Amino acid sequence: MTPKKPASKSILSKRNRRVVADASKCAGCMSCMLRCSFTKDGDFNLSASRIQVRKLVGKENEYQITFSKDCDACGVCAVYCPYDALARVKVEEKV
Amino acid sequence: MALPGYAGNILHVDLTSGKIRKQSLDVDLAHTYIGGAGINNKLAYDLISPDVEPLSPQNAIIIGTGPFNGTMIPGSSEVMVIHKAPLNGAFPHTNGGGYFSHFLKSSGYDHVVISGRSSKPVYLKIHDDSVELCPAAGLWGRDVFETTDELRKRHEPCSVVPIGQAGENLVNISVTQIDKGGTLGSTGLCAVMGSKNLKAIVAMMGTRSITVAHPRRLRKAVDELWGRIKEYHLRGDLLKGGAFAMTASWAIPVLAKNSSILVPFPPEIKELQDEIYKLHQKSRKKVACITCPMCDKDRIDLLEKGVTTYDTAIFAASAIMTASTAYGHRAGGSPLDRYADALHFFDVTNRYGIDRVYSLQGLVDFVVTLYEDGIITKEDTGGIVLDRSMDTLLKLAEMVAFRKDFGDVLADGIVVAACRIGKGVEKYVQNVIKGQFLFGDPRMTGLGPMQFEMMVYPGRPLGVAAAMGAPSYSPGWPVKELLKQANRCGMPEEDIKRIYSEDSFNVGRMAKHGEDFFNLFNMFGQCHRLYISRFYSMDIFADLYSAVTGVEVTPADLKKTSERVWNLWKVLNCKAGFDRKADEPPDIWFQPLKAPDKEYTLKDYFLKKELTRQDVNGMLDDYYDEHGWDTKTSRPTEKKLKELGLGNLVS
Repeated sequence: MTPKKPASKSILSKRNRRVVADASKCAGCMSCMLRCSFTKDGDFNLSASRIQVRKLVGKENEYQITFSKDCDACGVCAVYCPYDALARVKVEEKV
Repeated sequence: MALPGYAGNILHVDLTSGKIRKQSLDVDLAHTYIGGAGINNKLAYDLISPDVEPLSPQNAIIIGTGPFNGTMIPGSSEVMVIHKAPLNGAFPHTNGGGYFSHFLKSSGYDHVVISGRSSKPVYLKIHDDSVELCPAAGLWGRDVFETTDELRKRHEPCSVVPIGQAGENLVNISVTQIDKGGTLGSTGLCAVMGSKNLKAIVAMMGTRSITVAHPRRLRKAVDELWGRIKEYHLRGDLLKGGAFAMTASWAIPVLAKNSSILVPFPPEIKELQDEIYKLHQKSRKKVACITCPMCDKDRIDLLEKGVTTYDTAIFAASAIMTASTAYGHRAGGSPLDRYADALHFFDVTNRYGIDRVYSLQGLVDFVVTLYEDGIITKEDTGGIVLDRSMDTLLKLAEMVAFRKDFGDVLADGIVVAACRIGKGVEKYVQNVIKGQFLFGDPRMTGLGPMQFEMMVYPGRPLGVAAAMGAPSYSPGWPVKELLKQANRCGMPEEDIKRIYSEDSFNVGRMAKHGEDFFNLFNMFGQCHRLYISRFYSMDIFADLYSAVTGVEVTPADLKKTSERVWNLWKVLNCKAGFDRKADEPPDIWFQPLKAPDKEYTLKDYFLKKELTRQDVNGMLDDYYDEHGWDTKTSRPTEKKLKELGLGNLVS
């Protein structure tokens, strides 16, 4: 069963997949953002990426990873994350 | 519509008048010179007079990105900067990572030319079409990290190139860090920014797209690279330990290189290194530049001692050197105490924005030696005792950053300091070429490709990087390993046969071909660091460049364009006085380096053959000849310039 609202740190796909982020593993390389815009739009646009990585101001080297409502959880960001901070997982049915 | 791979504009900022102008990037310019270092060189040649006073409003800071910046190509993080350098009067390139190159292009700019001088402190903020000079009165006086933090609070997501107090006080051995990680400007960029009343440059994340000509081809090429990177057998160590992990094996040999007197290492040095490495791994948080899968930047939280800092990459040598009592002004006590002291010193110099690696540490060794030998006394130092304690190191760093008392004598580098001190102290100056310390003493390492490149390159970090890959970092690799590098650098077979034999090679001639290849990293915006640059070859570059820009090139085409860029830059440097005389080896190389148990004399890369001054001059002859330059002056010949389409530069 799908969650009622997508959590801010994960997104649900039409195929019962979602991308989950573990920001503690993120090194801030933004490869996910570049891959996302390239895959979805055919060019590179950091602002237009469906996944956004932000270095938190005042919390050194802590990152926030969020997904826009346009994200379809295709998982390309997870495939190319060099630091295993992202994973595309299957949403389990509630027993 | 911008040319694929480019944002399409050059931004001109005149700090004197406050005028800001956007100029379309000329397609021919982009094709003829290519990207960061290429177009930067052309702009510098056209816009900066070779005899300009470096700290005058007439000097310009030219910032450049390349066609790979803004894309997903791994390691495409580097921004290039050129200006006339106050440290030595040359036009070296300097480069740095972080996010700046990508964010600048995301606002629609490939290059920025900053000239003039603001009447008040300002910072330049770039966000799409909104380009502003903002008041920086509240930031002036704050250090590199504080300035970065404050500007991030105001403008996040953004990338920041700040200056610290050293830059504000026009210290020529100043340096900065982009986004608290990417070192930039080791020949005095920050002093030039300070002279212009420019506290920082902020590139916010913009909304513009970078298009590529052949997306599928690019995806295929990058996927192949990505596969190789993931399989790299040392990547696991790198992710855990950063640059420290990759340099541990040569830390101890490097340790003694900048010393004016070779001090024997204590027996516990290896143990100390191992202990410090454990602490380093435990306290390190990995930080990556944009697109980097190797994350060699360090954020350190040494919780046991409450020490926190950032560094562009804590090399094993740097950490041990600073923590060891064997080599200079170092800490005592346990490995934890020593590492904490070393980190504190890194933090202080990074915050002030002082070039510790290529200037300050050697400079402090120099003056402490003078003090120990009684050449200078408290009267010369403004009343302070110079010894080999951490206290002296920290005190001098502060005095240099603020040009206080004796710090003012040291603030412009060792060559100027020696002149100011007088008393014939020039003979104490060791291993300095073109105003900066070499990354090692060739009497210990042999005169290989890296040491040779440092002789002829007017900066340092890129001079190190422009040598021939991994074998250039330590002597005596077998020729077959060097041949692998030659092949990946796109050296034609006939040149390989001419330059390499079964058991040797011609350093001067090989260096030219190394430059042809490694200069492309500067042009494309790629990182030089060994553990990422190792995945690239001339063939891969040709494929990537063709995919990104749509301009079909062969490896030979790229090699020729790189040569054109290098020759233009050489002409510019010759005009600034950096001809053959500036490349000649220091006298000290031909005197033995004394140690208690032996003497080190200058030898070849294999540490077998003794080298005389005549031999080294012969290497220079070969290097210039391979380039097609005049061997007497080192200037590119008319024939060479015409061959490269630079006939208009013939004087």
